[in-house]
Amino acid sequence: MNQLSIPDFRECAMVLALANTPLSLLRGIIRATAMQKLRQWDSVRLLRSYDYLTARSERNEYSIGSAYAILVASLLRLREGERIAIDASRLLWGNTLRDHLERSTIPTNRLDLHVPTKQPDIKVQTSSGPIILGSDGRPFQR
Amino acid sequence: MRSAVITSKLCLAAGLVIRDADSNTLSIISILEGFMPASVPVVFGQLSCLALWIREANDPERTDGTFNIRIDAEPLSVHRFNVDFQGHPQARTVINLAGMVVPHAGLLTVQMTLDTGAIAEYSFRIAQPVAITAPAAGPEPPTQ
Repeated sequence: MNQLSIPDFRECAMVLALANTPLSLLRGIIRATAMQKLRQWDSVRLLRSYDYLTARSERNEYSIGSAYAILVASLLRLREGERIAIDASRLLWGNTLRDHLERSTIPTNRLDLHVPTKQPDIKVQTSSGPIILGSDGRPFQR
Repeated sequence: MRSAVITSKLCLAAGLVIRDADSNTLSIISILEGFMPASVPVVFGQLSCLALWIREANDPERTDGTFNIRIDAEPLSVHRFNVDFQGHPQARTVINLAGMVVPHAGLLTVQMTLDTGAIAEYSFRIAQPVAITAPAAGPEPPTQ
């Protein structure tokens, strides 16, 4: 469930191969289908996968593209108020992506209200008998 | 001791305020600038209020506030809300109201007041509806 598939790895690798600036890499990765899955991963899983991919001696477009995707997914957690301690410097454009995402993050505090409609004022007047007024204009007290 | 200087940069009311989850950008649709309804009371199925707050480095990261919407001086809804800057110099507040009824025409004011003293306010006028009468009947069409 939410596991990255071969097409996901391939898409990340293609985004990496075609990106010519850090910003184009970021835009491509954010739009990748793998990002939808990665954004549902918890922080532990993201960190463990990032460590596994970046610690390998054998690096290729598949592993590095996926590592960038995991890095971006971790950094996007900032927008939900969660800061994941991830070492962005392991990737060539990692620090640039981190700086850009931190600068562009503006937290949004949202509140949904269902305004209750005003209840109509209903006055029920009942009288068991005729109101007899006294000389002062007030009804008699029993 | 220096007092907090959180300020409001922007405040408005619109039909819809959407935040894109990927780019974190806001889209504001149908800004309310005043209108004449067909009749009163006016029912807002959806109303979104946006405020953008700016703080300085020494200002608190979290603060509470009061959201108040009123027609002329008559309050329609009052709620508490909180603002969390999460370490950033700016923060947004989006408050969505559903099913709000405005009982009569007048100046509708949306106000967000932080406990630090900052105020964000936006007003627009709901004009008194004008009764539309049918045009005077013209000459009878010729009958054959």
